[in-house]
Amino acid sequence: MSDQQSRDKGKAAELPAELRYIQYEHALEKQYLPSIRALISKDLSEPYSIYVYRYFLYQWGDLCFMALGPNSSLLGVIICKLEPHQSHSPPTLRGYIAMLAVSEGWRNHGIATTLVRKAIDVMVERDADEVVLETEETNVPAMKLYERLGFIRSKKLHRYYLNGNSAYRLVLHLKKMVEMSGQDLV
Amino acid sequence: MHGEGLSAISQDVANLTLDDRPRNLAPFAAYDSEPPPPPKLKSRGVIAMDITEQFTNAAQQLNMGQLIKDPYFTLFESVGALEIMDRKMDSGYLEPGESMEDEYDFSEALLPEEIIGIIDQLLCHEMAWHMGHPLSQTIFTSLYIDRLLSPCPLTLDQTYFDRSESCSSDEPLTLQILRAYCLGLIRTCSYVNNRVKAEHYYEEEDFVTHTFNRTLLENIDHESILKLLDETGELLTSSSEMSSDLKRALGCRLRFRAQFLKIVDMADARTPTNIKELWTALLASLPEIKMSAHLGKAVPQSFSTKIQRKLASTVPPRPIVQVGQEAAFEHLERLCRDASVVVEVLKYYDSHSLMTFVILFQTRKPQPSVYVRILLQHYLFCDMVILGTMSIRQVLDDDLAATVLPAHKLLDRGNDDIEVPHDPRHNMAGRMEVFRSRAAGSYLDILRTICQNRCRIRRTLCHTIADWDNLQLDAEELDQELREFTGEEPIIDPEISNDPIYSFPLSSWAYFYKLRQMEWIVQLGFELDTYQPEELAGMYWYLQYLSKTRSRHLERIRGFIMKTYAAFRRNPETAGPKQAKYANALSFVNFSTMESAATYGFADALSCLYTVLHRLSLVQSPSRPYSDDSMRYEVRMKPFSAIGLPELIQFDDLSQLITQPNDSTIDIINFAADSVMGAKKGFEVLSKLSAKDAYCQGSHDSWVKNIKDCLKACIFASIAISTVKKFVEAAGKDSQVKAKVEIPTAGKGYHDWWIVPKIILSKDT
Ligand SMILES: CC(C)(COP(=O)(O)OP(=O)(O)OC[C@H]1O[C@@H](n2cnc3c(N)ncnc32)[C@H](O)[C@@H]1OP(=O)(O)O)[C@@H](O)C(=O)NCCC(=O)NCCS
Repeated sequence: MSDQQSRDKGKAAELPAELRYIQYEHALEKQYLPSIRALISKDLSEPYSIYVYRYFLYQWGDLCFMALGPNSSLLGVIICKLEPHQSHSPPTLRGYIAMLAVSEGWRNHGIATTLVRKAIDVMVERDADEVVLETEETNVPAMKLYERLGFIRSKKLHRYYLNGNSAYRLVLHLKKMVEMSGQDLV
Repeated sequence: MHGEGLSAISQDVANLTLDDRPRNLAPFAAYDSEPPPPPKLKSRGVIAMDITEQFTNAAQQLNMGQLIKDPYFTLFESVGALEIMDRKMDSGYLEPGESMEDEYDFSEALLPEEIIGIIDQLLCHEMAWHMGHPLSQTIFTSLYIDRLLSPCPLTLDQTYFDRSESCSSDEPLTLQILRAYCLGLIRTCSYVNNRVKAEHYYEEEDFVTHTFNRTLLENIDHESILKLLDETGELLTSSSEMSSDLKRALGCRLRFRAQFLKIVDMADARTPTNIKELWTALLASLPEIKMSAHLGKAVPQSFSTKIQRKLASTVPPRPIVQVGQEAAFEHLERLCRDASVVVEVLKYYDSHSLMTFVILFQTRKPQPSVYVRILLQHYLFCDMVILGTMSIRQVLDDDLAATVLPAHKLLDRGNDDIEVPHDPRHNMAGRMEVFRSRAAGSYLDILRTICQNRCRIRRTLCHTIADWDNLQLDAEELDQELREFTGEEPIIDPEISNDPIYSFPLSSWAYFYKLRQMEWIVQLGFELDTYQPEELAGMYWYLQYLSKTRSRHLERIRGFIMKTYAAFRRNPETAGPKQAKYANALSFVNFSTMESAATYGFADALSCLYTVLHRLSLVQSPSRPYSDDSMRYEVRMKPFSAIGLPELIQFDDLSQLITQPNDSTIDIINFAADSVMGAKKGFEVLSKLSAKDAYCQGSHDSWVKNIKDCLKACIFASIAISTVKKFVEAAGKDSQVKAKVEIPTAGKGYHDWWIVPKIILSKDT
């Protein structure tokens, strides 16, 4: 661990006793969507429209988890989808982690790790074959987090982001390839 | 997705040209409470009716946040949706007091210093565009450029910045200079843009050709712009309005513009020209511009993001891209240098040297700019005439002759003239034509692929490799059919096999290239930082496996060439040129064998070194809750999983081969030490080969540099190996080694394909 990191970790407040994780459901939109948007937009130069959030949350609310702190404040969130995917290879049931963010003051406490695990656990229950995502090449914390869970970089995507940065596609297989859904999906 | 992944999509959406009318939403959004008039439907038989009420009623049935969508509503569409009155999405949204457009007085005279300032800023924008940013956030942010392009002028007379009556007669010299410069700039962009669009590139990723519905002065004659630049230069020389410093500074900028414009016009030619000298001259003209940049005075108010509202784009204005002068000049200098080198590709020596040229040109660092890479593609492929002089068949036949079929009757052009159906020569010609039509595309695609950006090369190879596997199978069938017509005598060697052994020349050729590409896939993985440290032992093992397979395959090819060569020598009538063809093919096979030996020696050494580092717990593979080693291996090897030959090594076998459980650590490290010494000798020999023997004619210098970098990495590795060896010898069986390992990230080592760990002793040893 570098000095910088240990200092950051020291600085972060203790985990609140009230920390809890809840699965999103549609009825929670009014209460949480504004803070979800605010939390995610913080790290974006271009915001997503409300339809993007609804696209995910309405169809895959059960793959969205929130970390809540004191007074039900939002500390972290993960948003995903799960769909059959087919391009060059046999089709798979593919989970996709679309957005993940933890509020700055609460980082390095394992919150993101827990959120990702909860989302993957639901995907596993729903018989997903694999999980994929993209992350900026410079986003070391995110890459470490995913790689610690078992993702590997399958390819690099040149100048994938508007800021000119490249990305890595990270992939986690949840099953052996011979056991993947294959033809059942088409 | 996170971050701008989605906005990358939204950029795509924004770039869809929706319609040609200016999207003037703003008055509607901000002030107008009247609903817009109903659309006028022209189609007969359609009766429009007002459904506002039904719609409002239906909408009220919905809960907040409920999504109504058809099954085809995609993420792409959700990203394309806009929220009106959101400043980052609604292009018509204005802050209180903000005006829609800029008010800029184009009739106002500018100081010469200001002209220099604007020109230099435009050069920064031009380079930013070359680097991959859109025109809308670079060149098109200049109000002067906007003035030139909108409305679209048809003649030079329509390009005055000042549109008042008297403008043409009394345009100040300063404004004329700026106008001439801007015209030259836009016209240059037009050439570049059209060139890029004609070849294979990735929009957004490499370059943005989108012009937002503006025409880049394609209506105005190129010569007249050059003439204006020249005349303006003369006018400047004879003017007494300004100091000689300023005159010189403006003069060299005008000359640069004219030169650049001439070059991009001429650069397309594939016939011998003095284009190389022109690029070099352009490069030589830059220092004068650079040195006089300090005379410039910036005019920031002449650049604005608001112009984007007038462009065919749905997104709100994005910030102006900031590329500093230093970076801009650096990019331009490199562009000139690379462009002056790339024209050398037009001199053809042999097919292998051609491929080496393209590979080495693309590994220049930083990778040559998109425009230059596009020129390379243009030189190679334009109109399906290779390098402007050769048919695809010529290049392919050259390559077959130089790899597997020297002086062979299958490649005899005379076969084409035989029309007797059962003449073997007629049949050979027919089958070879089938083969060429099957293989030529795949072969040329290798070259085309190498011209892409580094990430794309690897991605594309991962897909096309399966095609080569099929090509090899198809070629195998043709090989068998052709035996009937060539009357090939098999090798009978009971020591190898009871069956007769045939040469299979066409499928051998395909297999050779398939192996090469598989090696590149693994090697590019190192270059692009794709592997985690714990994967390195396995990936270097795979690399040595592929290279060794290539080496053995070359051995087989050599055997068959030698056999036909021996037969040929027994026949004294066949003379000179054929001899040279045999020599050439053998020399290539020898060269490639040497190169593969250095590669597998080094890869083997590194694989063993990483294995030892694992054993010493200096490289760790922590357990991963959602996966295990074999599942990650499947992800990693997915591109190879469908390949028939060489068969993918099963995970359990591979892990035995890598961990070498039956060998002692000291044995493994000793093997690594021997292996790396062998590789080092190999690279040394390679580095001394002539351009001809190394099949790098036309790019010998780059080739030597590349080999020397491998050699440096190799020497560095041998040091690491002997350091580790000392530990292993000193430490007892289970004692902990007090050291640390640093694995350099991409670009930090001596060579991108050789990741050599740095062994650092802990202080307390
Ligand atoms: C990336 C991001 C989500 C990580 O969130 P996080 O909650 O800090 O992540 P975690 O706490 O789970 O893991 C981070 C580190 O904390 C450490 N950690 C885990 N549990 C811990 C605990 N209980 N106490 C202290 N540290 C802990 C982890 O080991 C990890 O350390 P590392 O630096 O060695 O990898 C966060 O940085 C973020 O929101 N970034 C901006 C948005 C973004 O980049 N999203 C990713 C898009 S793909």
